[in-house]
Amino acid sequence: EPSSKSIENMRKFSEQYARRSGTYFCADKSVTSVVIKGLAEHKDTLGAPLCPCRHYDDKPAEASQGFWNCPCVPMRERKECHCMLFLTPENDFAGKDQTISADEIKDLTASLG
Amino acid sequence: AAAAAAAAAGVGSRIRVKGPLKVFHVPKNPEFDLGGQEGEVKEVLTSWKGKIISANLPYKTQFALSIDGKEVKLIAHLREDEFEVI
Repeated sequence: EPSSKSIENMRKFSEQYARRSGTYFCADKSVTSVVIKGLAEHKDTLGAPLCPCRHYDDKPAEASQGFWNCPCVPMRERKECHCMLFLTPENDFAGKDQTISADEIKDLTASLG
Repeated sequence: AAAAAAAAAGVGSRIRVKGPLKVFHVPKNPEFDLGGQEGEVKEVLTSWKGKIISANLPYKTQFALSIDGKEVKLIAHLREDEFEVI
């Protein structure tokens, strides 16, 4: 389980970055919540928010090299977020929110593992 | 032949982007099409300190864009099928 400090850090980062990039959270915010917790988990274990939606052979090497550290290169340069954390308005799955509360994250991930 | 040419691209290769390719990180230009632009490969991201990494846009390329009469330097990452070596 990621620390509440890291979850809060990644929650705030996600809100700021969505605003800055003109992107929106998924209409289903349990998707958003799971990704934010995954980022927080990597922040705790690797020291960097490595994208939680990919498979890696060597996580520490990836976190040090940085291509997949959130916001990853494909997101920064192309607004492509396959985690569905940051969605452009035209995306069918984009909701209307650029905010998500700590309670939302807690409630929407409570029933998982 | 095109695939072989692209695969031969390495650090220092001059390349041209086969268009279109929209990027969103050009300062003061929310959406910019790199199609047709020429650049130089600065790095090919395949490993870090001997460990294989999984970057899927491994060709880190520098461009000198001409925007409103000014030169703007930009780094963008490309896949090997998105450019041709010139």
